[in-house]
Amino acid sequence: MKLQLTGIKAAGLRCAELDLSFGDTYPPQFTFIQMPNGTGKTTLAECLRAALSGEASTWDAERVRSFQRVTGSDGGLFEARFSFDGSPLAVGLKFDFIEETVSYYTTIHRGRVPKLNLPAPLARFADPGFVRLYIFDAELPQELLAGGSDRAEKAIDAFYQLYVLGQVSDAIQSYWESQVQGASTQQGLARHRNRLENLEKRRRQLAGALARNQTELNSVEAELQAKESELDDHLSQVQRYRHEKASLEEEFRDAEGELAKGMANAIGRLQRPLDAHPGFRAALDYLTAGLTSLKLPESTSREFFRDLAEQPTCICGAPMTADAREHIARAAEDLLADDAAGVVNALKNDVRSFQRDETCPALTVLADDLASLVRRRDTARNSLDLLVSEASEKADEAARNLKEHIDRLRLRQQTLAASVRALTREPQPDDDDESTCLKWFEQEIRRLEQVVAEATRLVVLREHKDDLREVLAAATQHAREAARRELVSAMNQRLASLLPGENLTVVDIRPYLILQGREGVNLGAMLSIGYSFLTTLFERGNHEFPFIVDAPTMGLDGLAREALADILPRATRQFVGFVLDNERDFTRRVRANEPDRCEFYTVFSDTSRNRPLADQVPVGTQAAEAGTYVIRGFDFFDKVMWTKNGEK
Amino acid sequence: MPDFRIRSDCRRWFQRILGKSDLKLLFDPYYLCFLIGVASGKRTRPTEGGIDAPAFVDTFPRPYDQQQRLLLGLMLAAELRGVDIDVTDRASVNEIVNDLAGVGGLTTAGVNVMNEYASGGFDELITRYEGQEPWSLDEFMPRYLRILDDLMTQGELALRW
Amino acid sequence: MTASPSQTGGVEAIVRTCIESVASDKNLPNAVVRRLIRLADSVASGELDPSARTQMERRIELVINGFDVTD
Repeated sequence: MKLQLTGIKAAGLRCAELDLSFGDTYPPQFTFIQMPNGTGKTTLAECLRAALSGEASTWDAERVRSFQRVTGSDGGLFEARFSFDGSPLAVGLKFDFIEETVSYYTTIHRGRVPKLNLPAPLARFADPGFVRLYIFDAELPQELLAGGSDRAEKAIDAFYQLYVLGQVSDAIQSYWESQVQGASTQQGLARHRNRLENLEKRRRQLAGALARNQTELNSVEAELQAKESELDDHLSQVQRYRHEKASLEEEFRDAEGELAKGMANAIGRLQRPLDAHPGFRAALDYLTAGLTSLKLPESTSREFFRDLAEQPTCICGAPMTADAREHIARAAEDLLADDAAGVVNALKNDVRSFQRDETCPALTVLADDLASLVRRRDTARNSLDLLVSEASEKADEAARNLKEHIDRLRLRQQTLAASVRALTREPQPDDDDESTCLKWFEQEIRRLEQVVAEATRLVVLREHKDDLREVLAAATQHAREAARRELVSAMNQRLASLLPGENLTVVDIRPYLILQGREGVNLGAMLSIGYSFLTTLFERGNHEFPFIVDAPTMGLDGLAREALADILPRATRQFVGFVLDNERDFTRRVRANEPDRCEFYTVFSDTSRNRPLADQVPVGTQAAEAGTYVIRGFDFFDKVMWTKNGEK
Repeated sequence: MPDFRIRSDCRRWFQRILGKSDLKLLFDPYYLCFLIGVASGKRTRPTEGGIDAPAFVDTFPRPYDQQQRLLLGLMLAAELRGVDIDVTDRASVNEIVNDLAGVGGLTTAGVNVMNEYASGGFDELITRYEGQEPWSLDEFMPRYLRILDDLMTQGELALRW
Repeated sequence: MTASPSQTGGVEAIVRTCIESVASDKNLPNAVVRRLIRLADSVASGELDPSARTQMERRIELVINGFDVTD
């Protein structure tokens, strides 16, 4: 991010009226503005800071008044113009001295909004404390060294954007919290896992039992078939047995046949609504009768014609003959039924014309009939069994043994079949962990696996979340220390060139600059330390800010000023200094170092106090309308004398 | 015609007797449940886990196709009874008929209503079957006939006006 | 990482180095570290606003998914 100051404007405030734009297309690296006392440097500096920090919204009425022109003005305006990453940006403060309020406006590209609306990257640095690190005066260096101030440490955090790691860490925590709403705890997970294990054990047991039972059932049935056949062969050697068996088998076939017929008949009846139940027939008849009395004249209706054909006379009054009837019937056929009338008519037609089983016995009767057919068939089967039984009794031992074997097999078959049925039934609502329904276990296991998977995922997620946050916290810590160490070392190098021979060493920056063993330092030393910190810090950042300084070298001796002039070009891309006339060795040195990168202005109001200055203004130069002189150029800047007597 | 739908639990309940002799089609148990639904007046939406039960056919199979208008008639009777409309109230009857059927047969709404009677009927059937499942057609059919008869002759449930 | 942070506007090099070294002490997978640094870069450069909840959650999900990446 790159921020440059490209101009300032002030009107109606406690300072000279001015409207300065730096440079022709872009501001130069150094802009020096020479202003005598009383020109409003303080006002300008405060407004500049407020433009970038937003602190004007906290100014009370008294504070606002302090910006009013001594002679009284109704309103005032301050505007700072910037280039932000190459685009124009302007921030303005509108003062209303009648209401004693101040408001912001921001102009980006062509749009202006009536509030402070800095672009996001810049807004992050809109902190009054931070802004004072690049728009400052002689007080700053003292603060950097003062106990009780954490300005220095905060500056590091801001520059290295260490707060970003904190923001990411907080966002990770929020993410975790949103994932975890209403979920199981670690204990819940252990319980679920236990139950899952038990369910699976039980399921395996049941599945095993089913497989075994099924296999055995198959073999039992196969053996049963074989043995029955064997017994039959054995017994069939007796003729009487053969005859009886034949007749019983015929009876069985008959019974089965009758049962099948009865069943088909029952189902067939059910499939015909008019026969399914007398109640259905009654309902359909009633419906039809009721619907018949509806007149449905929305469209011509076949029904109308059919009814008409049954009348003794036609509507025209002529008698209804057979010919007339036929004629009407044909006409009716040609008509299309085309809506509800058609549907209803078709229904009525079906009700009327479908064949009905005239007897239509009650369903209970039908049920009884079926039941007795089932009984007849079962009886026939039992008779067959009985025959086999008795014949075996009377037959030889081999037959008897076979019969016993068969009976045992049958019993076993029934038991196994029942067991298989019980194991393969559908789940019921009251099934639980004790039941024997295999399908219920499979279903419950599937459901529980889902729950466990979700709970596991959350447990793992928590571990990840904690790891990430620890890393971010530790990295912040380490980065802060590494930045401090690096800064301290770079600062000391710079200090050595700013104050050679002083042996000043900065030991730490936590939370303020700590010097080695020194109780107190003089102003010059403080300034040097302050500059070395700031220039070192700003040199490292990803972001370029302009240094805007009021009386940059006040308190520094000649050597220190020279050193500062040598350091600055490397340390900052833009330096705007509001200087007094006694800083000229500094400005000259800077100009000597960077002759093409400097711009000089001399600004003063046209007052009696400033008469000596006005007298030196080149011929033909007028003060601006509001009575402010703005002289651009190094010559005037460097040579104008500020004292009455022309002595410095 | 829109889809006829049968609930999976209904299909499973009938699985042992389906495919035997005269109960070959899936429509058969569907129809048997439908009759129970109309007889009991029970209608429920056939959903499983929030989505519609699976569709299985979109036309009346034989022999039901011949009877479809009568089935419509049964539904009509049940609907009119259900909302207490007199059969001579022409406008209301027209409205209901138009909802349920058109020239081409049952409408989507009509099929949905039929599906609902089949679903409600199945619920009633298993209630009366007391939690058991049918093992053979021989055992099921007499029982079903008695249940249907019982429903039709019980005071509040008989089709009357 | 080819571009230096001052060019892309992401986190400072010093911060990035610290994240990498702490993460490696903790044996975090490379995919996680890469994605975490990219996330921090996005916030630092202003590309991603930390109060934009949906976007942040999406990016955090990506970081977490890095734990499952085998590289």
